[in-house]
Amino acid sequence: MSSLRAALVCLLACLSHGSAGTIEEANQLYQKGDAAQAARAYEALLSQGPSPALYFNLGNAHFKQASPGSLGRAVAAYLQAYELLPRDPDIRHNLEFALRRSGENLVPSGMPRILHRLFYFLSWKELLGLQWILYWLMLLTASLGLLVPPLRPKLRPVLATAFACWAAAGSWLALRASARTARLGVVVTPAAEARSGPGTNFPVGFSAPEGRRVCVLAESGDWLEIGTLKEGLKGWTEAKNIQRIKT
Amino acid sequence: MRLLLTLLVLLAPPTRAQEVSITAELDRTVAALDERLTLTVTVSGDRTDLPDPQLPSMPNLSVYSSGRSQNIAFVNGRVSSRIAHTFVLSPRFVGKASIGPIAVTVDGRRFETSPIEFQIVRPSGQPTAGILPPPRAPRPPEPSASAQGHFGPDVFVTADVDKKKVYVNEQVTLTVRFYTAVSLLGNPEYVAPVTQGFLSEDLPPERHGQVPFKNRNYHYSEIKSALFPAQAGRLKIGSAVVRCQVQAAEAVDPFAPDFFQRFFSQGLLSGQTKELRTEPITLEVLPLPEAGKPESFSGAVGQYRIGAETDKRSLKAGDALNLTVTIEGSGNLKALGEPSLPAMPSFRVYDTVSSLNLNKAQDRVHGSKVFKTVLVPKASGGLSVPSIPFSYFDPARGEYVRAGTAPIELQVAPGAGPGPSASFVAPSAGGGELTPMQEDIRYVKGGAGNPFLSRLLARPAGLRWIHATPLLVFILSLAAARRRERLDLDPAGRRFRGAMVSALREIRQAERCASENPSRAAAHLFEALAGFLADKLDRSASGLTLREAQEALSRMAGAERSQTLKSLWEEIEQLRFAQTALAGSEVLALIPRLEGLLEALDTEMKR
Repeated sequence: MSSLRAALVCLLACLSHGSAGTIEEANQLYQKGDAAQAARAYEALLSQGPSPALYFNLGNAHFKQASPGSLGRAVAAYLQAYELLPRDPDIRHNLEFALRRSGENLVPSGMPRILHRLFYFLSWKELLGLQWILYWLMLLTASLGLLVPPLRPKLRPVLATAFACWAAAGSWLALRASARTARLGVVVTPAAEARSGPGTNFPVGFSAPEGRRVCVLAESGDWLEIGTLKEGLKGWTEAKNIQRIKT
Repeated sequence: MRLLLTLLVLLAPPTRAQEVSITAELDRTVAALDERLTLTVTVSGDRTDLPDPQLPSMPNLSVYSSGRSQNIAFVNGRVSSRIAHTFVLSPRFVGKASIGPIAVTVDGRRFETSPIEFQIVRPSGQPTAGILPPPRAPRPPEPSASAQGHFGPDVFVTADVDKKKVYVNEQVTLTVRFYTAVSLLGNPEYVAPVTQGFLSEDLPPERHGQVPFKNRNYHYSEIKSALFPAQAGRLKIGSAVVRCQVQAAEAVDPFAPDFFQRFFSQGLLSGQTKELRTEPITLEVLPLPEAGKPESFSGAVGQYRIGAETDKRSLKAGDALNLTVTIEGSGNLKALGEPSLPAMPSFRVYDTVSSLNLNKAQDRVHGSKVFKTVLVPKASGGLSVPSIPFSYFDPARGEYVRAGTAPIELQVAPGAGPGPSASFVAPSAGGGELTPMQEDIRYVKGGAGNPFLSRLLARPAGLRWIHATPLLVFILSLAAARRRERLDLDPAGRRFRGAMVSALREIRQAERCASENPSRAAAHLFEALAGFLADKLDRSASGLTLREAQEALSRMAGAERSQTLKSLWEEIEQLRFAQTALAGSEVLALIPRLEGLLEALDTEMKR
């Protein structure tokens, strides 16, 4: 009865707005415990554009379903949110919580947490944007100095600061690029069997638990070659077992 | 505060020994030689790890442990434990006997019982003795085996086990039987077999009986013990040894000269010492199978069942709750480990104490092990003590058995006080400490928009080719700066190239002031012309004469231009220095001609 009512609320919300409703309506479904409907509502909202809050809420909705594959989908949604806004403490908390359930840790062992937080304070896009802003500032300041020689003494410290920040941001970006997994994926089935080749005729090499982060290395039809980030194992698994993270 | 005291008492290290007591009790004070006595030693105290009692030397008795029983109670925040050890005593000699002080040492302090005295009387008037109970009705010695080949030996000993192939930690019952068909002289001495690789438990009481064998009637005494192999492989049970003296009938010649001397010295029967050994027994001990081994398996082998109960079903948050988990069945209960409690985030879980109750009836080691844990609910509401998993290997079925307790539902009302503190530190006046309960994901977010900083920083990342603009601006600025620098290094050339611009600037000024001040306008025109020529010729405008200008123009632009210059120069000078009133139109009329000349010269004059 409650799920029917929740569905009606969702339907009415869609009709009234002529679209996917609002995040508040989806949150109401979540609050009432209808995590499945809430997840559908968040997905509809996400079709209009990415948002860290929507991915975060979608992760919550998947996590609360506690059905096979829901942990993996929750991890995937949290990773999407983390990709957009890594400094958000709620996103970070829930991602860490979900990763622990799948036997992983967000912070690599031996790395101080504060350093990890600083390193991932900005998202990849934000860091790229910062790099471009500093690049603009640096070049325009230099151009102004070239065109108006009398301003050069005043512009010199600005230019030096802009250059130092640009170089620092560039180094940060380079380090992030080296630590970045370009084709990240998450196991979204309870145990994804990875075989030594793209087909069921190959023996199973290992089984990846739900929610485990993997790197998608290659594709062959409906099969993906994956590598586990934690153990460094490689194998082929069916594409349905993996949800890719948009980076 | 009451709870705090309770928990402090429960968890206090066992350093106090004042509450320990030990008592010993014998079931009777007079017993026949063929009867068994039961000694019960009870150790009690305010701690759970009470040690086993140390029995004194009892040469007149054979002592077998027949079990133990332990009770632990939490009453009014105090723990009390009572262990009753039961021993079966077999008398070896007739007469007065005593059991010396039985001691237990706790934290360096020794606690003792008083000595117990008792009387052993002869059964049915028959003289018997021996560590192994002698036959109840010894028969007269019969002809020995050597004398009569078809008869069995006078005495012999056997050892046997109930099974030769067992699993690790499965009970094997070893039975040693001492048979005699003759009267014994003295006390047989029994040396138990070496059982390296086994854990051994006595299985009293001894048994006696009669059995015919090889045309003789034997009395036998039987000792049993339970063995639990601790490792897989081929394990050996050593030889049990019995040393005894038997009556040996010798042929006595009544007519011999020393007949009376021998009769009075040793009688008609002489003693013969015999050492009897059992054959060693080799057991094949199978390892426990790896396939199907449950995660909760901790080595229990036998047949068990598990149960759990709490002393209350409804309580307040912060109140203590006793959880009792009982595992009972048959097997090596002493080695039974504590079942691992599942995660109970809603409870504070304290250390577990265990008690062991052993029973050895019917030659099987069975009993129960009770684990008691104090739980303190951290929150109110409907809480549940989840199922506690337990698994064991059943050797009879040859497979692992998964068992578990049923979940226990509790109703927890809100606590009266500030709730249980996270530690045993008393809360300060400003408030208590934070009480962590259960970790969960954080709640959903309200707004779908991106933060301002994120929008600000992320936007430039999407602008692709626009990022070429500052580079382009920089390149152009750089080119302009270099050009300017180059010009700064060549002032003559700069004057030459800028001559036309300067002249036009003067002409424009002349146009502006022609109507109001024609003389001044004429002066501007002259400045335009002279300045142009001075710039082109890299001369000073004030010192340039018409002659010099004409000579230069003749070389650079031809004689015609020189003449034009001359006429225009002179006309401008006339207007400039005219004595009559000058009309602006006259000045303006010269401008087109001047511009035409300057443009022509600018084109024709090369550096």
